[in-house]
Amino acid sequence: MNSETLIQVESLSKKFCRSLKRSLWYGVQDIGTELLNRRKTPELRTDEFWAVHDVNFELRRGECLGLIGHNGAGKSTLLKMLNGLIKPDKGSITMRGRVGALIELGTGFNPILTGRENIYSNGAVLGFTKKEINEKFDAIVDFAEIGEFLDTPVQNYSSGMRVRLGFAVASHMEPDVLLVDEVLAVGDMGFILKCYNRMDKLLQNTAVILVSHNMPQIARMATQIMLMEKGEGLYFAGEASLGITEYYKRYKLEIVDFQNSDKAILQNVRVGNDRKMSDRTEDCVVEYGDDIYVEIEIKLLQKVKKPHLSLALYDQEQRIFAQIWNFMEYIDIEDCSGELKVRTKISRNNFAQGKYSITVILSDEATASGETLLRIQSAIYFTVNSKVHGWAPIQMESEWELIK
Amino acid sequence: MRMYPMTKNETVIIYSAEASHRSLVAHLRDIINSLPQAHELGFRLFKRNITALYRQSLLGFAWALLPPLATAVLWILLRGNNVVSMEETGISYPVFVLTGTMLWQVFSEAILAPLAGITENKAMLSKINIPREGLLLSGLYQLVFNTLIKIVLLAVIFLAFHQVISLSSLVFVPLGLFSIGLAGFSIGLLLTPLGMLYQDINRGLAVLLPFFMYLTPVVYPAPQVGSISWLMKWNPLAVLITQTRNWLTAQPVYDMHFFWIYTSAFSLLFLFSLVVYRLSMPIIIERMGS
Repeated sequence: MNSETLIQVESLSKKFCRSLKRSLWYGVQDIGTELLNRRKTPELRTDEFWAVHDVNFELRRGECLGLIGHNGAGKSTLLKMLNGLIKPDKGSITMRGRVGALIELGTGFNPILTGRENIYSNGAVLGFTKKEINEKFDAIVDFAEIGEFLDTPVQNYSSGMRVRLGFAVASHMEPDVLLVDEVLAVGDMGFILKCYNRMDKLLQNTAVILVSHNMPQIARMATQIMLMEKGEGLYFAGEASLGITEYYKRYKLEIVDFQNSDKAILQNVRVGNDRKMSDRTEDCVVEYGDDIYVEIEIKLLQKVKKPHLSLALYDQEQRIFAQIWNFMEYIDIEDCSGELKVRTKISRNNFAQGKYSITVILSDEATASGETLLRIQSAIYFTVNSKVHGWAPIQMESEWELIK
Repeated sequence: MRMYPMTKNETVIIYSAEASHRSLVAHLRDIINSLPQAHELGFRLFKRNITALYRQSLLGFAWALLPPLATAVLWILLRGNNVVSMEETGISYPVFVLTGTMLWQVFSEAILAPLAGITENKAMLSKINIPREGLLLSGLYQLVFNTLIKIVLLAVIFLAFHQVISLSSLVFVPLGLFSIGLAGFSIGLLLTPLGMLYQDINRGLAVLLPFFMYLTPVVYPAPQVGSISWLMKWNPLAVLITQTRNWLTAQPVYDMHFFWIYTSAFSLLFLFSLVVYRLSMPIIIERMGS
């Protein structure tokens, strides 16, 4: 084992029981087995299932493992085992150095005590000595930005303030290994950025395991990916982008049937590049820089004056990030009815890695505001394969020159 | 779980599925090694809980005294009005019964202390990695704290009733208190793993404790003859409480060998329960849910 390797996990497995009464009884049995130093049954008893099954990985200082997967895949269970809270049923974990965890921040808080008292209390719970807390006290209060409320009981804090305080205390631990579990759901933008900066700084000297559903965050910080699904782990060492693509592939986003209006029907939509076009039933993958073609087939049920098709592009988090609004510059039809089939080309796309959807909107420019005749949200999905993955879906290709 | 201290102040921890295959003594050594950390945590939790408890309360520390006080007053009234008759106790009855109920309360609190210490901080157990003996210590410190309050009250009562004391027997009182506390704590500790899984333990204790108080010479002097005098010899608490009460009130003590036998037995039980606790906690925590 390399002297820099801080975490080593081999054939790690954990089973849980579905029924509560049976689970408690198994608990009693397990205590007996433990006390009598007997071998445990490694196989599944009635009502048991593998929450984590045969997971293997290694992590060095300065590396970050992104733990991703759908809800209930086993990520938090794996994290609990790494944190020493529950015992494995098979395999082993080896951890070197001090372990810190940003999990369930503020758990050590007693609502009746003030913020100041809770810093000492929570710090002690996390393993700080009083001397260490005294040294870091000012830094913690500074980071948490709750200065004026320091001497109010914590029960009067908002949940965001509690997270701030909890994060401030936990992140000043300077551990060798850091386990982070989806902690930043609450918290304003300014604080979230501050937390990421802090974690970046911690990452330099620590081995970090990060659980998150926020793919841009994972993409930004992770050097390796462990994709969990129903307890099984797929390990991507050194190729975080592949892991993230795989994660997106697992998400069979529901293809809802078109909700057509009585004025027009969307009959078909296809998307692709110049090598292959796919319709809704196929997975469409294009490369960064490809020309993306979108073909749309509409049947108009009434006469439309100056039909106007626009497209809206949505990202994985269902946020709109781009629009195509220039239909009229290319196709100008006075009166139209019946079938309408068009194609548009998005030249040399500069989308970041991810899965995107296209929303089709047909409007009638007869009136000034353009009455919407048809709107199909997320009519079709496509995935962009790209080495570029970042916060924003659009990666601008600007040109640089040196002035000085 | 095995921990190896390394050079450069680095620790290596290994969690594996295998049973630890280590002796009782080895486990005890582990526990002693983690004692400083556990104390730091336990003391913090104790301070935190006490502060919180009494910040939101008007009567404050008086609550530690009310149950035994109430029982004592009741029995003083019952005996004083000849509703109940009992043997002479050798000292004034109020002192007798109050000392008895206070000492019983120490035992009763001691039995509930381990489970209470853990239940209070249950949320932490399944979320953060803390030395779990620390939770036990916080319950223990609370027990000691409450006992000290009781001693103060006893001193006041002794003064009020002009109770005679003797320094030579007073020195044994800490031993007696320790013994009673140890008895309760070790039984409570043994029941804790099961008590965390099944509510029956807590409920059962709530029902059985008052019952057992009346099987122990707390409010009445131990009968030397008769059909249940054997109970007084074989009920460990009977011996422990009677001895301690006699030390407090400068009365002669008999049956010291029983006292030592029971104290040693409870000490062993305590050490055994401690190891059981340490081994069973991880198993319980995963079943307890978060």
